[in-house]
Amino acid sequence: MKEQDRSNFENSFQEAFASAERAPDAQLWDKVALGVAKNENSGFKKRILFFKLMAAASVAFAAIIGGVYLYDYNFGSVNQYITNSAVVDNDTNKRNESSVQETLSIGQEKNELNKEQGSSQFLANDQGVGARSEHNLSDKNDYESRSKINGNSGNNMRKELAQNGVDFESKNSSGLGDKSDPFFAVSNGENTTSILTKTQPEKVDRKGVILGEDGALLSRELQLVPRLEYLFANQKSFDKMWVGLGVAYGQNFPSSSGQDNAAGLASFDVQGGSVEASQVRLSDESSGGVMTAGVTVGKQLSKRWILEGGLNYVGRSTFVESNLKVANNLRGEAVNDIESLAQEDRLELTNTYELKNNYHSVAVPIQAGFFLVDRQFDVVLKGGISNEILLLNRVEDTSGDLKSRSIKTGENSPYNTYILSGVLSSEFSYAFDENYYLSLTPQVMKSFNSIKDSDASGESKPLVFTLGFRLGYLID
Amino acid sequence: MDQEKALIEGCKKSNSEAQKELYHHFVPKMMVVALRYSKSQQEAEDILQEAFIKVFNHIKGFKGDSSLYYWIKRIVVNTALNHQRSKLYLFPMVDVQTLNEPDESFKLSDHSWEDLLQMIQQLPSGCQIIFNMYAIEGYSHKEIANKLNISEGTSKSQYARAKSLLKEKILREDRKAYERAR
Repeated sequence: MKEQDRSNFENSFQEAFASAERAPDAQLWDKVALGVAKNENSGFKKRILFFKLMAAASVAFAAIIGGVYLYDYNFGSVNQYITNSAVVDNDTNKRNESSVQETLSIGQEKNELNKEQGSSQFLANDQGVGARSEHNLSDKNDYESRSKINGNSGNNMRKELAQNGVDFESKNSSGLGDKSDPFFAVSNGENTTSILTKTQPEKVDRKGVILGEDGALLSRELQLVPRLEYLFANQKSFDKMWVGLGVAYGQNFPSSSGQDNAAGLASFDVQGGSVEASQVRLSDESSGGVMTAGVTVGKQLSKRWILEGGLNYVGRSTFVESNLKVANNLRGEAVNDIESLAQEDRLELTNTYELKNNYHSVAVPIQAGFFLVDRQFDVVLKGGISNEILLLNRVEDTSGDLKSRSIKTGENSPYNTYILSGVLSSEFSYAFDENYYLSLTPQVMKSFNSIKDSDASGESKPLVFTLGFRLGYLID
Repeated sequence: MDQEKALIEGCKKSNSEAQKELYHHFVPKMMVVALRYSKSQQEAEDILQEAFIKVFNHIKGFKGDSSLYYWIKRIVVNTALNHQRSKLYLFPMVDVQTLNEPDESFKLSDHSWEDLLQMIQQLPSGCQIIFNMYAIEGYSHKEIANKLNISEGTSKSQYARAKSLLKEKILREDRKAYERAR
């Protein structure tokens, strides 16, 4: 607004309020400080939300893959085998039919060649036909050599399959001349009709049958039977062991409730006696972060099952709003739980502040796992328990105004020393070397018993989401 | 000035002592600003709480182009407008007939700022906001219209109504005072 437009009225109001001041309620600063602290934590919380969503999505993904695999494992294997057998038979038919056509073609062209050789004028004028005849002769030689290999291979394979209990429809087949033998039929160019109407070999009802000790021959023969070749190519030893170093970050939901400040104060002889339960503000714990780091040892028990254990350091945090402090020294100490105080502590009320509980513990997780995918890229679904030994809780005022306190576990402690939790996790790993792998490990963990060991302190059975990374070494 | 710079630097580093000092330095003046835009002490404190949280969260972006006082005041006023916006939506402002033009030789010297604050708080919400913005903050009607998404005519007529109502209240108070004096 331009100055000249302003009347005396506006100027009078502006002057009246120019130096006006009024103090707001004294508690307003506490609210502002809390709001600022929460906003400063919100960036971290957004990052944690990402990890949480990733962990949930990964576990869901692994569960779906597991379901599909189990269904396939239980109901799909027979159909799969039938399909594979059909592929083998079809391939054999195709090869046979192709050979028959080649044979017929060779026969016809042989006749043509004879005719052509009888006519020198025709040969001289038509280079293309001559070239074609050479090609056909070459084809024929090639074909014959291939037929011999097939014939030998057929005999060898048939013998070795027979040694291993495989039953052929034609039990008296003895090599050349047997019309029911596809290998012979292919090699015998004159018996083309019998190939087209041949009897198919009976299906092999053993997936992992060991065929013999002649590796080179076996390898060549297996190329003719895709299903068996696949099975042998994918044979692995199932006694792998591994060790891994890992670190994980995530969010800790304390699920705390039922804190009874009145009961806590009743059992506490307040020095000075000025604090009443109605004045105390001690909120239930709200969610914080979690970090784990440790070593893992695992062993493959069978083709699909593994057992894994380890030793982890676990650091988890929660937040509490409090208006109590221990006034034993000038600075004062943060109070998160009346039950954590000693009888000689002098308790005082103060402005509401936010404090952080930092629980430090050592955990020994034991999990059984199931390989959903066992290739260069592995997917393992794991479940088990975590045995956690709580060492101490370090309580710190987030603003730094009050001194931190450490509350140890043990006798007279408000905390349980042993915490048993259920664990569900999945591991997505990639072997980037013969012995080394990197993995991503989303995990959900829920405590079965409360961290707190006091009726007045309430109950806290944390739910933890983490997303971890691990570098592992496969022991040969 | 150096002290103010040190406070700003401290706040930019999220130093809680610096934040506390800055808050206590500016909050009495800002409380009056918030009171002018609200109907009660509680409402003003809610506005202040939100405004100071914004101040500390955005102080890293404060480049010192204007004085810190005006920067904080602008945040308080904008926060107050956001608070009142819902009320303006519920009771949309329309053009009102311009009533008596105020006396150009009008004097407020007999009234304390607390009395005037009470009169302002008793104005209808729309009038209260526009009066504060035009008469005390110094916005033009065009700027007010842009900020509140209303027409310039609406701003002018609401202001005229506010002025008229305030004048009536002031005259009434003057009359009472005069009678008491007699």
